Amino acid sequence: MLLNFADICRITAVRMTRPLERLLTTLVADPGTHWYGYELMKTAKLTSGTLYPMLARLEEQGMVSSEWERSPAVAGRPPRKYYRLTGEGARVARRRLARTAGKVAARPVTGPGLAGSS
Amino acid sequence: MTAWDLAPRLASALITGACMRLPEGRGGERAREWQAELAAILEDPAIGSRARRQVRAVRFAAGQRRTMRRLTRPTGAERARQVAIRAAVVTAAAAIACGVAVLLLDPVASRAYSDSAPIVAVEIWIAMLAAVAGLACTALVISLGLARASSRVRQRRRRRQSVSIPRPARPPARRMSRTGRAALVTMVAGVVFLMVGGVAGMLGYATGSGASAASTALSDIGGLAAYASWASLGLALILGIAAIARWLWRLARHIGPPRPRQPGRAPASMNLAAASAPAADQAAPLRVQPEDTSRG
Repeated sequence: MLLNFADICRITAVRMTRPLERLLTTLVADPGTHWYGYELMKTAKLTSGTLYPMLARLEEQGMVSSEWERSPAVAGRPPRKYYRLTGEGARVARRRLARTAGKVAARPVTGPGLAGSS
Repeated sequence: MTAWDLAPRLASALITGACMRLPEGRGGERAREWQAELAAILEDPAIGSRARRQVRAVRFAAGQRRTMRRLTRPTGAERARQVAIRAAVVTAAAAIACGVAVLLLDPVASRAYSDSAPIVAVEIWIAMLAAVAGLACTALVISLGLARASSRVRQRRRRRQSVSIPRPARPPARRMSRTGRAALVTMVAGVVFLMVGGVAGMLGYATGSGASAASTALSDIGGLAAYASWASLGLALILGIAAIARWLWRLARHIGPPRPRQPGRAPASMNLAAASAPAADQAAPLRVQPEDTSRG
């Protein structure tokens, strides 16, 4: 119980950045799916150097869990590491994404093209 | 080894180099993970041609290496020391390159019709550049030595005052082979010797050119330093060739990613989530990707 509470406290300290937003959006879209790194790179349109440190951080915070592939689909191919959102991770990610979306929606729309429109 | 094998081996070597920077225990697991992704990229049917797959694999590996470099970069005094060492190596290389250019230009310039010919001016400018680079290298080496000596003196003083000194963090594994490092050290030493020889020779000439004991001593020092510099530069050349040959040989011999160990759960230190995640999270079977099944 204490461990879970500590983990939740750590999870709430996630700082939302644009790449993290993209990663969480991808993961939240199908929370039950196990993703491997390259697939996440392609889907979230992130580079390898951006994705893996983020995954490691999310894993340390308990938002993402990882698991090694037990039997590779193709013989001879090394087993891959799969990632997925934990239950708590999915809840926190949805909350954070909603908050970010709210901030974006609440932001006043200004610009040279819109100056005379109101 | 064919040309097609070169890119996967280069990518594999980049990943190995990136993982060497990680702390012990984490590097092996990350290497296994990234090598597996590399294999998947190289066989990805969604990427059209083989060349594009290879480029993608090298980009993947280079990205990991770049990030690992950035994340494990030292800070503070250690960072300043590393920058100074790199600057010394670069300036030494620049001095040698300019010196070689002068040697190559010299026969052409000596046949010029007058001293005001453009080729003579170019040669003089390159020689001046070589001297500036060499002096900068020497100054960097001297300042590095002074900094090292002063830190040792401070450490000794603290030890005498019985102040406990925290052990500095262990630096990440060295990326360059011992032969390569020795080549760079001898190259820098060669340039420093050359500069010392040049300065001592000029001072000997200025103080009377053998007329006094001091000028004779300075000329002798200059001569010795010049011999030492040529010996060092020759040794640096041999060691450099050996280091490059060794690197190419290892790249050619490297057949593929290292054989993975028995697949299983990640170590507890890397998977804090496993301890706290609900059991339902772990129960779902792994999804097999469609592209995996299509591969032969």
